Order: sequence, then C-alpha cells, then structure tokens
Amino acid sequence: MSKNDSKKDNEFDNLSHEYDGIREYDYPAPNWWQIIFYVSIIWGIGYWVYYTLYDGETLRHRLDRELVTIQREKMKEASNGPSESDMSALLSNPAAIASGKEVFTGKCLSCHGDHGQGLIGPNLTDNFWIHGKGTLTDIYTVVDKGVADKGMPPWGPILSAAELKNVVAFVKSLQGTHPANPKAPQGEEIK
Amino acid sequence: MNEESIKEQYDDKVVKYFLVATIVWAGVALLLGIYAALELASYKFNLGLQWFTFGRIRPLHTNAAIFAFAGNTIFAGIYHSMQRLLKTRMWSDAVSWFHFWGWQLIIVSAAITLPLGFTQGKEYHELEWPIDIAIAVVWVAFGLNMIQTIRRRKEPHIYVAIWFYLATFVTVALLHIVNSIEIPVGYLKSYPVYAGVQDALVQWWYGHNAVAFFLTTPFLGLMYYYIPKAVNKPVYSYRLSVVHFWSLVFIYIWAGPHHLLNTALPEWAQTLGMVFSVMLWIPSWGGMINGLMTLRGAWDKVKADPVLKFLATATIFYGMATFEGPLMSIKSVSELAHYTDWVIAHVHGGALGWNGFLSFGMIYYLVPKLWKTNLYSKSLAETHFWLGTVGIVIYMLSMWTAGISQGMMLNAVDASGHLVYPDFVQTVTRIVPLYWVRAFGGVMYFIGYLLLVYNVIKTIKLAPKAAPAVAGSSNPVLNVSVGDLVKSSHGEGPHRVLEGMPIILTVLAVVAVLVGSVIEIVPMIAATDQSSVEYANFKVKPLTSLQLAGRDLYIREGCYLCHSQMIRTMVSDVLRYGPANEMADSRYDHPFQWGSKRTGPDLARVGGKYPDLWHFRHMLNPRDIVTQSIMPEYKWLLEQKLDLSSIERRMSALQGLGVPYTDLEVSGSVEDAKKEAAALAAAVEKDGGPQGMADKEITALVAYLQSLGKQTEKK
Repeated sequence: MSKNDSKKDNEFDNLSHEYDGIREYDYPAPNWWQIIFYVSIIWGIGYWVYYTLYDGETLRHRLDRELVTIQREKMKEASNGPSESDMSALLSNPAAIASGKEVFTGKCLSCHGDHGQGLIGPNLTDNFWIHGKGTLTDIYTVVDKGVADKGMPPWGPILSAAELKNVVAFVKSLQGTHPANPKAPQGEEIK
Repeated sequence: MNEESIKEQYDDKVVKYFLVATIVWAGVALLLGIYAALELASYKFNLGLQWFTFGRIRPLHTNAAIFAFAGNTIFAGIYHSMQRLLKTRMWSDAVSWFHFWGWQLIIVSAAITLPLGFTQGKEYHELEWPIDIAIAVVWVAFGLNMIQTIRRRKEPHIYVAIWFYLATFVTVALLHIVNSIEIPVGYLKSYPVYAGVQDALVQWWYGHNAVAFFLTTPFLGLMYYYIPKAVNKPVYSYRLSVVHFWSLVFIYIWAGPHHLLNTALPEWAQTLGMVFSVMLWIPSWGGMINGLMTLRGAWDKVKADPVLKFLATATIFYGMATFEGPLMSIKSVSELAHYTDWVIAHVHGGALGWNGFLSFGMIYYLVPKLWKTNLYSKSLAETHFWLGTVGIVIYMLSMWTAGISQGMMLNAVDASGHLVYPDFVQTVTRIVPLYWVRAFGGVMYFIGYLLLVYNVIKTIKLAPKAAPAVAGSSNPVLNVSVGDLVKSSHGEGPHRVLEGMPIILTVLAVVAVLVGSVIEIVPMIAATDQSSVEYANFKVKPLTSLQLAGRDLYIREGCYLCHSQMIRTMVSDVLRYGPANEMADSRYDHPFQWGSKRTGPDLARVGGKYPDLWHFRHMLNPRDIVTQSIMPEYKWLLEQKLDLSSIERRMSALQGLGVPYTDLEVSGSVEDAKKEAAALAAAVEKDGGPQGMADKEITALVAYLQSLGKQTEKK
C-alpha cells in the first residue's frame, strides 16, 4: 500500500463500526458512479414517459410500418410473376433444374418422397392433379401460396423468386418418371 | 465472558453439514449441466430414455444449481457468519436441523419428480405443489431462526451482510408464495391461477427476482463478510453500502419484464422493465466496488491466497454479469439476444463465475477454520482456480458466439423482404460445433471442482480430533432502546439507528420490494379480467379435452425449454412464424408457455402448418423430416397409453379458473377425448401412418400441436 493510500485511509477511518473484527471505512462513493446513477434515473424516467405517455413509436406500430414496406416489395415481385413460357424455358436449363432439385431435397422431399413418388403429400410424377391442371403456373401457385387445408406450406415467403421458379421446373421435370413405391393417384387425371 | 468461551457456543456443526451438502450438490449440478450440454451437442446422449431427455434434465440441472448448490452455500455462509456477527448462537438447534434436513429432502424430491415428468412448466418453479408447500415451510423456519437469532444478538447494530440476509428471506418468501398460488388437480399436478400474460408477468417477476434475491443479495452478504475477513482489512465504504443496498432492493424487483420484451406483454410494462434494468447497473456495481476496493493495496495477498483469488474473481464476474444484464435488457439488444445462447452465456457468467467462485472461496476459507487445521494443498486450490477460470471463459466465449451468430442469422431479412435463412435448422447446424466447445469448458470447470473435493477430504483428515463443542446457550437477550442506539451511533444519522432495529429494517425492505411488485402486477391482473378491452376484440376457443391432455404432455416433456410460443413484434419473427401474438392468444393458458429459449422454432402458429402424419413421423424420428434436426426422438409417446383418468378433474379446475367450459364438456371430457382421438388416429392410419394410435399419448400431443394458433378469432 502506498503512503498516499494510508493517509487517505486515516482520513476516512472515522467510524467506530466493528463486527467480528470487520471494520468499515467511510469513503465516499466514486463520482463517476454517482453521476451515471443520476443520469440513468433521469434517462429512465424520460424514456418511459416518452414511449408510454407521449408520441414514442410503439413496437406494434413499428412492426406495422416495416411490414407495409415489405408488402410493397413483395407486390412488385408478384406483379412480374413468372409466365408459363418463362418457366418452360427453364426445363431445358440444367443449372436451373439442378438448383430446383436442391430446393426440392431441402424442402419437399420429407413429404413428397425422394423421387417425388409421394409420401405424406401426393405423388408428383403421375398425371393426376388435385389443384389445377398441372401447368407450370398451376404448380407455381400451389408452391407459392400453399394449400392450408392439406398442410402444404406456402413457400413464397421463404424461397427467393428464382428458387421458386426452379423448383417448379424441377417438379414438372419429374412427370412420367415412374419411381419405385409410387403413392396411389389422387385428384383428377389430366390427359 | 471472554472471546474464547463465546466462540465455543457457536453452532458450527450445522455449518459443517451445510458445507458438505454444498460440495455434494455442486457436483450433482455440474454433472447434470455437462450432461445437458452434451445432449444439445448430440441428441443421442439421452440413450433413448424419457427420464434422461433434455426437457426433463434441464429443469433438474437448473434446480440443482440454484436451490441445491447455491442454496446450501447461502445457508452454510449465513449460519457461520451470522453467529459471529451477532456474537450469539443460532436461536434454535432444532429449527436449524429441521431447516437442514428439510431442505435436503426437498432437493431429493426434486431429483425424483423432475425426471419422471412432474413439473409445473414454469422455469425455476417446476416443482409441484406439495414440494412448493414444503419449500415455504422450510424457508419460513429458516427466516424465523434468523430473526430470532438477530433478536438475541449481543451487538447493538447489525452489519450490512445481515441487511442482505434479511432482504433475501422476506423477498424470496414473497416471490415463492405469490408464484405458487395454484390449484391442485392430482397428487403431483396443478394449474396456476394465473393465465397467459398474467402468468408470464408473475412468473418472470419471480424468475428474475429469484436471480436477484437468491443468487445476488445473499451472495453479496457473504461477500461483505468473507472478503474483509479473508484479507483482514476494513470494508471500503459504509456510505456506499447503505446506498447500494437500498437502491438494489428497490430497483431489482421492477426489472422482471425484461424477460418479455417484444412480446404480447403490454408495452408500458415492457418499458418499465427495460428502464429499471438499466438503472440497476450502477447499484449492482456499488457492491462490486465495495468488494474490490476493500482489496485495494492488498493485491499481493490476493496473488498468494487462493481464497482471495476466488473471492476477487467472483466479484469481477459479478460486475461483468451486472453490466451485461442491463445491456441485454435494452429492447433492440433483446431482439438479437432473446431466445438465443447469449442468454445462456450471461447466466453462466453469473452462476459459474459469481456464485460458483464465491462458494469455492468460502469453502476454502471455512473448511480449515471449522476443522481447525490448514488447507491440505494451496497449489491444488490454485490449479482449481485456473481450470475454473479458463473453463468459464471457454464456456462464455462459445455461447456468446453461438447466440450472436444464431440471433443475427434468424433476424436477417434481405432487401426484397425475404428471410436470408428461412430454415430454422440452418441456424442450428451452424452452432452445433460450439455446443461441443461449451461442454468442454464445463468439463474443465468440473475437473477443477474435483480437485476441491480431494483437497477438502484431505484437509478434514488432517484435522485434530476435536473436543466436543459445548451445546446449548443461555446468552441473555440484548435489550437496546432507541435512545441508547442514537447515543451509540455518535450522531451518524438515522440509518445507523435503523441498523439497531432489524425488524423495522426488514419491514422497510418489504415495502421497498412491494412498490415495484404492486405497480406492475396489480394493473395486469385488473386489465386482463374476463371483460377487459384487451380480450373484447377476440373470440378464444378453449382447448378440447384431448388437446388439453396433449398440452399437459407438452408440459411434462419440457417442450417449452426449446420451443417458444410467442411470435414477437419483429419483422423476422412475423415473416418466419406468422402474425405477432396478441394477449388473447394465451388467454386460457394455465400456465403460459411462451418459453425463453429457441433451440427449435417457435410453435405459436404451428397448428395446421403440417399434416397430422407429419407430426407422427416427426415425433418418432425428427430426422425423417428434417435431416439435420437435433431434436430427440419421442418414441415413448407412440407406445404409452394416454391417461385420461384425471382429465375431468383438470377441466373442472380450469372451469373454476374461468376457462369457459360447459358442464357438459367437463362431464363428457373422457368420452369426447376418446372420440376425437379415434377420428384423428383413423385419419392418420388411412394416410399410411402407424396403426392403433387412438389410445396413445402421441395422438393427444398432435391434437394439441394442431390447435396452436387456431383458437383465436378476431371478432
């Protein structure tokens, strides 16, 4: 201990407190400690009053505002949604089919089987269709929006626009592949 | 009477017992922690056994760490220091032993019931109602023993450590009793009277303040005794201890809602929780400053003495955790940190660093003192210190990295409004390697602990055969009048007088904690009565009897420990899981199941998202559906018969609590459940699912999962 310290100790050693040999000095609380304490209390009151009683934006308002922006982005995307010819061009594009297959493996396989033969969800390789007539745009709608009653999730919010188109093209490419253990046909036969 | 003869009369036997219990339960808590950590690194560690699955082990780990390890530390330290600070023996040996054995019995009952799946489904309050009653009785016995001892003291004033002990006793009693108001519906099953948002607020008022008044205030009391004793220097600042004691006690109680930021909790309460958490930073640091500044000028002693090393480092970890806590309570930081491993890093900095190291320092100080010998090996204790410190650093770094990485991945939204990582499991596989690193840090900490065990055993063997302590005590009660106190306080002001009036001081502490409690909880209870505006815009369907049975299984399996049911008011949550939850969504949930950690995705709106068969296959083997899933298999749900024997009593209890069941629904609950289960099982069978599931537990659980998010309708 430096000399300075012991001099200070003498200055603040002015209490008679003693418990089981433990004595107490009476140094003042550090200035920075006191200042931050007062500032945090003043800030705390100000913050609460602003966000609760005045115009502070509530969390729900902020969420709504941000969702509106995102909705606008999505509308833009939807308005230039893919056409039948857009996607049929992808059928002869090996890179697009490969990307579609990757999406299929990650998202669709667990319900539609590893070769699209159907499992929890319907067989995708036969020419029976439950929703629409099996056109690329019909498949796109199902993948994009989902089918709530049947447990088909909407993938629009999850996949990017390119991934959506690619996986639709990949599903179309499964037509007539006759995998092993196919699920029985469901829906309407489209010739 | 000279000093020596007074010392003879202290009851050190019960202190030794509590100390040994501390060491034993520390080992149990740490081993369970390592086991739970390994289960997160690989689901296979549960060996396919339901009793060992993460959802049942995790509550056992937390209860063992908090109530068994830290609890026994507190009692050992309080019984030892209080007798000396007050110069008197504990009031009643019988009560001391009742306290000791009662507490150990409660821990054993926890160790039996939690793996069997008996749980209330509320964190750190899992133990069922008969054990809740036992806790209340034993705790009150402890408090009575303490207060009576204080009344018999031979010191006019009580030291700051004892202010903290008193605040601990009264506040934990209040928290435990209020959060335990529940309706029994079986020997080991109950429903809390609170539902939904009320239950969430009461639970986190309890949960947060269990940290405050079970893991903080008593340990500050121990710090105030053992640091000056071990270093043999005066405490730095009496003034500071007065200010930080009262500000801590008053402010802490308000901060509970910071566990519920961005949820359906009304925003005035969220904001209160946030600002009080920030204000709490400085009062907390008051304790750290007083602990560390007491050591100033004595760092050479700290360097040489493992006891001081543990105590000083514990105080530094306390400072770290109490800076990190307020930071994480800021709404925007919480968006990133909440539900992630960052929270796990934070609590383990507190538990391993502050509570663990303070306990170890105290053990190394007390064992040689109580057994009247020297520590067997200083260098082993030194090694323990370094193993422990490095273990904590590895633990915290891995969990900080895991939490912040996963939080950022989950919250990432690109410019076109899409989630960058739409699959939850993508964010999990990224952090699984860190789960192995975390387990390694835990193992290091545990090896350090084993050195302590060895060192303690060797030290006790060194002890001389002690002469039997003089039993009983006939110390005269100290009668001090206020006038005497004022005189003996040398005009030091009213607080010095108050220190001579422990009952008044206790009452004032109760008032301090009641202010925040009443202001937050009472409006919430009043605002969410059955006719309130928050509920008026929604029509909420209560669960069917089968869904309710499934919900009780969801609680039994501890699903809430990895899955939340609360979509927050954040874009990334809404894009991932659906519209943010309203208060009405959990209106009839006794208890609420909002959760506090997302090791898996949120389930608030999972109902109808996947077909029934998806859930059957997923529960049987999650990897059949999500190849990289780390969720355990729940095979037993497809084998065990669903028990409907008490469903009528459960429905009727909920009806009594205000869930709008008709009498017919209650009396016909068994029939209804069987009918619903038969239909569900038949449909699954038709789709090619497993056969004969109508009377199995899985069917009820799937019925419940399919109800999630489907019960509320906007009017």
